[in-house]
Amino acid sequence: MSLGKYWHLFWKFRGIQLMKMTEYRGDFFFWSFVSVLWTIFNLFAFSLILRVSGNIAGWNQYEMYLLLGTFTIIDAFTWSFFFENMSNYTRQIFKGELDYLLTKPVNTIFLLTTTENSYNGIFRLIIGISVIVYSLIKLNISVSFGGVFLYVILLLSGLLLMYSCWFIIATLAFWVEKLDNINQIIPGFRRILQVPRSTFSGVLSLLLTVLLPLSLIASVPSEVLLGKSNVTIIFWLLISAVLTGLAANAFFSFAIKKYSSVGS
Amino acid sequence: MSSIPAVKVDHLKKHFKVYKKKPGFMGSIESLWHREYETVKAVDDISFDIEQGEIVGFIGQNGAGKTTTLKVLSGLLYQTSGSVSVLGYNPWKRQAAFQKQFSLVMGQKNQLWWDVPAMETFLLNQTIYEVPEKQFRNTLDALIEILDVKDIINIQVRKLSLGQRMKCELIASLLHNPKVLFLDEPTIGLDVVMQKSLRDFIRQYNKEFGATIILTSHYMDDVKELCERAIMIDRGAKVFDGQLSDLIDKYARNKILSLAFSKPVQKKLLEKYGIVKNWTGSTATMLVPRKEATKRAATMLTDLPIHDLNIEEIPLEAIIREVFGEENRLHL
Repeated sequence: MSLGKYWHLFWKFRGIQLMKMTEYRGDFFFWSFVSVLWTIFNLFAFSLILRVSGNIAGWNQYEMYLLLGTFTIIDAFTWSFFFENMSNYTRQIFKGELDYLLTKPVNTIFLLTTTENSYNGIFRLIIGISVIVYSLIKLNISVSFGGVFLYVILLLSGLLLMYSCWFIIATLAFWVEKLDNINQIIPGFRRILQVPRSTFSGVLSLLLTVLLPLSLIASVPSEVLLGKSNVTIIFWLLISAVLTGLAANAFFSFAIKKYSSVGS
Repeated sequence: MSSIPAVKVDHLKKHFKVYKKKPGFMGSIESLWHREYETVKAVDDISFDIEQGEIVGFIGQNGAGKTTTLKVLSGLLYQTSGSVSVLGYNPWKRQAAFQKQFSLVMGQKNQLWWDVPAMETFLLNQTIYEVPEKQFRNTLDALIEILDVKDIINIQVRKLSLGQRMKCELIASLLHNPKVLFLDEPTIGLDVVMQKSLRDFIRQYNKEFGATIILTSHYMDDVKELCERAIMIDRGAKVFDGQLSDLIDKYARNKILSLAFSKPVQKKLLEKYGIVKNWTGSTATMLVPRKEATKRAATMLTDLPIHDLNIEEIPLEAIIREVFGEENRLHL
């Protein structure tokens, strides 16, 4: 199947999800409202801390807002894309419903990753982008097209890294009969993302920067916009994202042998 | 018919390790730190070939291994040992070229998107299977007409009846014109009229596209009407593979004689001709050895005041019950 077909399929899924959303408008409006509230409360909580401390790990108020804007974009993807698809994935494993997916002439990981989504996170995404733009204006920073491009690439790499970790954990569902909170593990870690990577020192820094570089996911793209990027760290984020993606793919191929769908 | 089998199964085994829970509350507590597992032999050394264009019925009780075999053939389950080949492909490799040529329909599971009309799933499958627009429209129009679903394909799937959903499931599974079709209880839960229309459709699809079909069903009418050949599985092992008529020959030692008398006939008088199953005086149902059925019927016509006589084969359902159950074995 060509890349064009995958692209076409990706948007077909978005279309179907849009139809589903219009079927349940009340659900969409309610969850959008809740999601906006969460985002505003989070930003408000940090603004209180910053009003007192002035900076966090050397990042001033507006630099922190920019980081939180990036985090908010990542959060929008976390709940609207990753959580929806991974919940569906583990439910299908537990109920033995991967059957139809596995018989399709399309990459199974692609189907597991792109089939579902919700549109509740759209307002969160808009808030995240707005906060970034607002912070850049306040910091009086003008970003070049190349800078925006690199930001997007690093943001996507961070998302890939996070999603791959999530996918690996969700794939463990093949070995257990039921584990309801398996999809809460990675969201639980995402608090790490909303503080600068320099917050972590010693063993924690080694763990969250080198071994499991979750602290880079929001920090590194933000550093690019702020003009304080580190080339080595940028490469490490790109490499670790690709490596984790490959590991997730290999782990799935291994785990699928374990799959024993529920008999009828 | 081609000499290369469409489906080839060679000494297939599929064993599962299942956790055996002790009964009661204490058993649940104990299971938190200690679990006993046992191996279930879902499929145990099965071999068969299916030629292109054949419709084969998979018969067996619940848990006999029918669905497991179909899932191995579809590439969903990895076999414990043995080999399988479908259209020359190893299903487990799940190559796109293979997946575009077969379809699995499960009566108890669905692939249709629940909250949107079935038409959306059809369009999605068109993209997934890369079906050219013209072929898609032609096939879709033909399937819609045969299955008479024109009015429902644009209604949300959740609002459809079970029978309507099953018809749409079939369309979704056939839009890419699969050469091999695995039907796992496609008529389950449907009323007799709907069962009949689905059977007619399956037969027509087989004729029109020369498709190879494996059908599992609990309804013997499905098997009788569609399949010449049957494979019978019991506790993971193949116990019969051949023509349905041979199955009857092999396991049915008797035929059923239904009699109506012009004058009452005593039961004792009938017992010398065979086993009397039902007797009212003016009517009787008897089992007589198959090979002698005609001869005995002729003798009875001469000896007894028979007003009407009918000779029938033992129903397939009864034969299946006989094969799988130890009870009443001698009565058939």
